[in-house]
Amino acid sequence: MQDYLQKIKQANTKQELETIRIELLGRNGELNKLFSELKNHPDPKSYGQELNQIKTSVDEAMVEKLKTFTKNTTYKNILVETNFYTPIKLGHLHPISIVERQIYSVFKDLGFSQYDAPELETDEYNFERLNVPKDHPARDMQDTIYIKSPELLLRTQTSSIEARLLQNEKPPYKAMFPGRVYRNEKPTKTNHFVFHQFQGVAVDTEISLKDLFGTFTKLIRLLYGPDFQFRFRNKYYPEVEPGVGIDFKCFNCGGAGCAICKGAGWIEAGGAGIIHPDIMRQANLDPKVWRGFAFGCGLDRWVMTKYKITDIRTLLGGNLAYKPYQL
Amino acid sequence: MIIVYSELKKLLPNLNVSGRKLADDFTLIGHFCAGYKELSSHSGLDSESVDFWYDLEVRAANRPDCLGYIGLATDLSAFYKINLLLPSVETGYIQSLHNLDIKISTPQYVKSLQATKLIDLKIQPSPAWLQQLLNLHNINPINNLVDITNYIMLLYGIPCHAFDAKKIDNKLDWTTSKSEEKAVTFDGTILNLQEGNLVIKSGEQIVSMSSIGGENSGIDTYTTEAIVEVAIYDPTRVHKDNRALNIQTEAGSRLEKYITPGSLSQIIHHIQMLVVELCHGKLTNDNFSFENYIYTPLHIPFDSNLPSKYAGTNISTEESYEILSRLGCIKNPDGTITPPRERGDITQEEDLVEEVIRIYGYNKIGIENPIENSLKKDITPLVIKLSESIKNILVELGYDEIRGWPLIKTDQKIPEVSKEKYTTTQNSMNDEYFTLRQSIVETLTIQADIYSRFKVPSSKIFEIGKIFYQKDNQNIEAHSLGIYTTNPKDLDLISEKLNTQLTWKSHGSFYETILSNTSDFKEYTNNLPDTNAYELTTQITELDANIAFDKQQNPVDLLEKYFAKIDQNILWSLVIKDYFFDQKTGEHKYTFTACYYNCESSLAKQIHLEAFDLV
Repeated sequence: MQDYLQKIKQANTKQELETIRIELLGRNGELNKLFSELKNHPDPKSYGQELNQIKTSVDEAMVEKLKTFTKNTTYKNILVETNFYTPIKLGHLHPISIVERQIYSVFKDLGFSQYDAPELETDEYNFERLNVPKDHPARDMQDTIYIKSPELLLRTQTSSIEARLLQNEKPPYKAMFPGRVYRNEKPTKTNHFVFHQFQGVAVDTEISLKDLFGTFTKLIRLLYGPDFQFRFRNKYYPEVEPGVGIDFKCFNCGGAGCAICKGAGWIEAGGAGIIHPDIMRQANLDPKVWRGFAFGCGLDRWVMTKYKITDIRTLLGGNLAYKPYQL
Repeated sequence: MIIVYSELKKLLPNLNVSGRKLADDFTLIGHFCAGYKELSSHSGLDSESVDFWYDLEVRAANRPDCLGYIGLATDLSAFYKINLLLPSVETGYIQSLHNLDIKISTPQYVKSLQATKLIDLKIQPSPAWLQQLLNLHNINPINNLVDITNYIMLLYGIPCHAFDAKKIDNKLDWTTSKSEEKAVTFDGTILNLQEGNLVIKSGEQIVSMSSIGGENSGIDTYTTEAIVEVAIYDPTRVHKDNRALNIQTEAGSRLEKYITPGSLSQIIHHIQMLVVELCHGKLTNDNFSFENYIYTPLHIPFDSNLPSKYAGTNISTEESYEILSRLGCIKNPDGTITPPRERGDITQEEDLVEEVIRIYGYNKIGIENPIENSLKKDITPLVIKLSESIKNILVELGYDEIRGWPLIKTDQKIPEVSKEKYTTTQNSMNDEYFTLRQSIVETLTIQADIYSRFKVPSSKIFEIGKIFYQKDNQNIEAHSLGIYTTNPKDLDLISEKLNTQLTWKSHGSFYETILSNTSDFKEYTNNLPDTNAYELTTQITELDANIAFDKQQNPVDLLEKYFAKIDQNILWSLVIKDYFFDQKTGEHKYTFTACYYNCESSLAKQIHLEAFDLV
């Protein structure tokens, strides 16, 4: 085995590599012979696993070597350039990561950093500092997942990251932060107890809704193309004032109304607005001096829209898989 | 909140927009229209007119006044710059106060209450227009008096309730329940009350809850005398009671909001007027009024330049003041603004700014220019940069990223990798998932099992995410990287590319390392292709095909040929697994492996045989 790995490493041409492959992995190759004798082995299960591991190691060593002969690693190019038939398994980012990156690429160009904060949060950062009063229904045990002693909760919104950012950093700044959030819900096609949001904040002296709308328009057009239909509307959120709702025309029905959009023809894609003066004050920022916009969007719906995934449970539920090769 | 165009038009006689436009405009100004339809016939209209039905999502936490027609009509009056025609109600019916035997034993839960006694009632079905209107709002018509109270609720957004005066012995007490008391609602449902629920009693008998009437006090055809009350309660108390007792009513959904007491006298007068008209009843001197709410008009400073600054577009001073005026705000001589009493949501200058911009219209604000492009400072935590670099490396090495649920089941714990105390939830509705993963290996194992069940031909996966545990009574949360691989040498490659050393712990083919917020690594960037992820609904079926040719083939042409013959919506992968030149026959033999997804194996076989001409 080690001899073959050494041979692979020392191969100087694609043809040499192909010869080694046939010798070892071909139909009458060494490894296939060993596999054919598997049933006679005293411990076929362990031996089979061992052979599989050897095959994987050889495969991967060959692919690594092959990459040194070719610049482009798509399956098609490998075939064209080498006539080599063992395809390279392509790796993939999760669709949520892809969309997070696409979103961040827009914001990075506009000078945004990224930010991070705990998923296990305190009531103060998840609610109090975000203008959610003590008796607000969102704090109800039925909506928030609390942790057993000491008293903490699983953050219900990425606005908690905003609260920490406002508290910890000195403006002016711009930052966005994708994150996982939790709600005490039974999983359905459209709702889950674990889902994702991305949130952003920009604080400076002169910031307006026009800045917010322009920024979001740039983002939406990049992700979904210039003809994609969306709208901004007034919507109440305790963290912002004026508040903004962002809707996408339903990808499933095109606006006619269906189960995905619950008949509205539009899918709520996020919320935004000018940061509420009470929140600025809580972070010791004078709202007469500093003004900022904040936005938060349900990332899962953006991902579902982009990849035409109809069940939110698929995103983390295990039955999402990737086609391994692209011709 | 359901509304009907024709009813709205009674308050806005000059309303003249299409049904569709009204739906869009409601949404624009903050009342998301979740449903809209044209009504083919409706007796409230002349025969040639059409009517429209809307289902609005009123953000009642902020705008409880819009749980009634008048609040919504006020907004539209400002938006369309048309006059609002409020119901004409004769006042002065209440001759004297406090003649009714009403007691408020729990004043902490009652903000404001008015009641009146009505006699000589003739209880009968309501007129057709009222019945149809209620039906359009999904409210069953009961009788003329009950229907009046529901109509008033729809109009003003504040619930009211009628009791048969004789059944309650002409006395009422707003108090709280004792433990193990029971109440029976008007539809016969038995409520097992807890100590402290807000109830309305007559003597020792519970005759109503705050959000739903009782069976023993309702109005029926024998009722000739009634006490009608309208009240505003502590919304938290109502919300808790409704949750605890599973009460879901139109009244309850309104009473658990922060309604600002503003128009209870008007409401009582309106009820009296309608009772005289529709129930042929008479008014009495027996009335009651309770006020536990002190209203102090606000004087809010208002800089008329602020709406323009907040919007980023010019909104003239005149327009700002006109909008505020149409919303019922008063401009005081000192320049301050006093909002209308029922608008409890307006308390500071920014609230006024929002009102102006909202009515001005978000659709008039430019959308083409993003925020100024200037990097203020990079405050990105290093652990995020490290995570992103690792993702780049692993995808390049052929790994697929997965994301699992951080909440796991008890039988998904792996004690071999999770040595600390688990962090658990105290109230998860999903009672199987109440433990937070302590190791990323726990969710990777679940994923590997699922892929195995679906027969996904891949064994290279990774996840980066948070893990949680308790140590020394502290909750610890950390970024973790987990990899499932049969090639541990990849771990060295990661370190090599990052120019840093990562410490791994292993569990079979699973490896895990904790990522710290360290600066000791080299960022790794590359251009990754878009992902091609799909929902799997069935097992993947893997089938081979051996095809012989008399000449050696271009493998790309071969693959393209067969790709074209198979529906891409079921073809997972197609590869040439082997090539072999048979010297005996002179044939070039190719072995293809095709994987099919989201179709049953029998169908996959059929498609496979047809595609490779093996039938």
